Amino acid sequence: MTPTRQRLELVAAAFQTAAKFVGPLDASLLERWLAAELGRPDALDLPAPCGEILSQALAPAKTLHVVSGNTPHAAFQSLLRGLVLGSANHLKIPSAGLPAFEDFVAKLPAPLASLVALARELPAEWLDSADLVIVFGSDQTVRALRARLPAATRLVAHGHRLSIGVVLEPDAPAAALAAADASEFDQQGCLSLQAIYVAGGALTARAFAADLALAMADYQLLNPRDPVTPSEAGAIRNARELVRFRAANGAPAALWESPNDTCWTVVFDAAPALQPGPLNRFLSVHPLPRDLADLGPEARFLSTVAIHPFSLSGAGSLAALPASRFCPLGRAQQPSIFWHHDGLATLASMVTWRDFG
Amino acid sequence: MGRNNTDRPEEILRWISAGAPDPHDFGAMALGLFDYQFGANQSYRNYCLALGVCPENASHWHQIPALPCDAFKIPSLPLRCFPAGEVRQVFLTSGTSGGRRGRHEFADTRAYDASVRSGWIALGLPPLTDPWFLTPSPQTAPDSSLVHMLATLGDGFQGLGERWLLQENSLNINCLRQAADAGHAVQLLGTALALLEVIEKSEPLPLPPGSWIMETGGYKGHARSLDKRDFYHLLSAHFQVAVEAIHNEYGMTEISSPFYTGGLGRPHRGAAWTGVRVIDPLTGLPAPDGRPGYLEIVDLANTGSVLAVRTQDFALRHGEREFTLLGRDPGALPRGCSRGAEELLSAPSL
Repeated sequence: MTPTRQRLELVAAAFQTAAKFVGPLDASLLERWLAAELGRPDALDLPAPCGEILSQALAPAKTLHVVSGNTPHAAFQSLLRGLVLGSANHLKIPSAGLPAFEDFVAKLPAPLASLVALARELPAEWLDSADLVIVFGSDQTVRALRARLPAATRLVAHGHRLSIGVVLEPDAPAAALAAADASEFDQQGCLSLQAIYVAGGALTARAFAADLALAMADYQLLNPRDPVTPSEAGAIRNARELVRFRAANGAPAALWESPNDTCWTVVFDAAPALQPGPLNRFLSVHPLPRDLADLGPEARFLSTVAIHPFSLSGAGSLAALPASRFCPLGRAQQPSIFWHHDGLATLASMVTWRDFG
Repeated sequence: MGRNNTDRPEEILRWISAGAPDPHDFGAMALGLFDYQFGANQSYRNYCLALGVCPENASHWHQIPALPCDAFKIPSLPLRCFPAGEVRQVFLTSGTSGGRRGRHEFADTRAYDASVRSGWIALGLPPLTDPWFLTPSPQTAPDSSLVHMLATLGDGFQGLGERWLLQENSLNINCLRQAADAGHAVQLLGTALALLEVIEKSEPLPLPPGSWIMETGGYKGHARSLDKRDFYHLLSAHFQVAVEAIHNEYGMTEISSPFYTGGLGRPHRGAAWTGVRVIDPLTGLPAPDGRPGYLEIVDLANTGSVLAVRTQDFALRHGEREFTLLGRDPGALPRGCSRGAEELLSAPSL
């Protein structure tokens, strides 16, 4: 058994308790992932032919992961990548902590635990010693970090992004699938849907919004939203009142809302512009415009487009959208381990190569 | 609506101008102005109807619907009680947070000016004897409500044109230094950002005994993050005034009446023609006194626009016209990697 295979067995066993954040996995899946990214499963273990030379993949000796949001998904996924490669991993987590992730790290078996260190405040020496830095955060966070790094240090930045649904055929299951994709993790992730675009014109989109409101209420009944902060609730109320004001004055807009609380909100807006919302289960519905450029400048922050029903030709019709992922509606929040995060190969973008011959 | 209430703004103007109006009249005055604006302000009326509130079923000023400040940013839905052709004064929000600027339109500023003057006296602020303004002049910032307010306070002072210390985006505090050298008390009124800039860029400037400072506007966007206590101690050290001699004004483009506090740890107070409500964002219902929520202001000096405005500031309410400001956005740490509205607003260039 190669050293890599031995490590993958350990990693797969350890991440069984983190399936909620990284999906189900076993050592064979991790090996296939490595092979898909690096060309072969033993690319880290020995040189192999690469054209007329031999090449071997080298994991970064030290990887610094900077996770600025306080949901643990990015931390779990980034650590999984670092451990699969066998890198030593420094993780800067938010100052408020990430309890689920910290518990997980505390229970890692010794061979893996020796490859992981956590800190809530970023030690300066971590910046200087890192071969690779992976950062999850706002543009502001990324800029601030880049400015503090030695010029030669490689940086992989995952800025904040948003995702949308496109309903090409608004049939009965579509609303429930859209509600699940928007509600899971309370819209805190870059894969969370914030807007749904419906083919067939404004009337069809408005009717879909009414169906979606029912589906959001159903989802809330079975999966109540986590508590929100006063400022998060205030942002939702502010956004609701603006829609109410516009709709009352004849704007082609409408509002459906959970009564007496802020647990879910659906807005129909005939204008096609994509706008990030206040999150925490606040979803807007628009008619799908003929010209996708009408989504406006926010489209450049698109991560995923979840399509219903999904087909490659349907995705092809939306190719003008600058998204890095098209998937079936209902699957937005469960990317395959093989996905290209923000369009980047996850493991391949971390390694370097040593050539022989 | 055909009501005989078109003289309501004049009645309120007289009430405000009278000097020390009876606060017990506030509720009736507020409902009267709501009645007038419901009839005269179509955008506001439509919003109230969407909420199911109208003058016939509103029996307490707490029931008067408040519009979010962002509603002032929609050009196609003007929030005024008079035709577009009668607009004589427009105040705009600073626009530092990206996107459209909020727009507050006036047919005249008589109620605004009366509120500023009468409120100053009614709330017991110290008299102005030699004021200096750390802002641009009204000529260079005609759409700033803050500058208009300061000009109203400074009206009649000798050499008013020289008293604006922010000229062509640079600070000119030599005049203030000369006035301070003369040894009599001066007053320095300006934005917190400009005051911080003076502290950072100039030698200490001890002001003569009896001098005081009024700061306003917060310092969001400044490179330094500073709490109010530290800021006041910096001001106190730089200008040699006691912390108790530093006043804060809370005002907004969308309202006409300022609220004031002095020193540290005291609530803001408004004049008799203002009321405050604090709404629990989780329930949308009024928060009990002393519990946090977002601040809504009912300002009867907003005669020609909308009398009730929902701010984005969090506060604790202490009675009808006092509140403790908690700030813009407590607990605003992003929870995940989702791009939210706040990020759009905070993006430096989009």
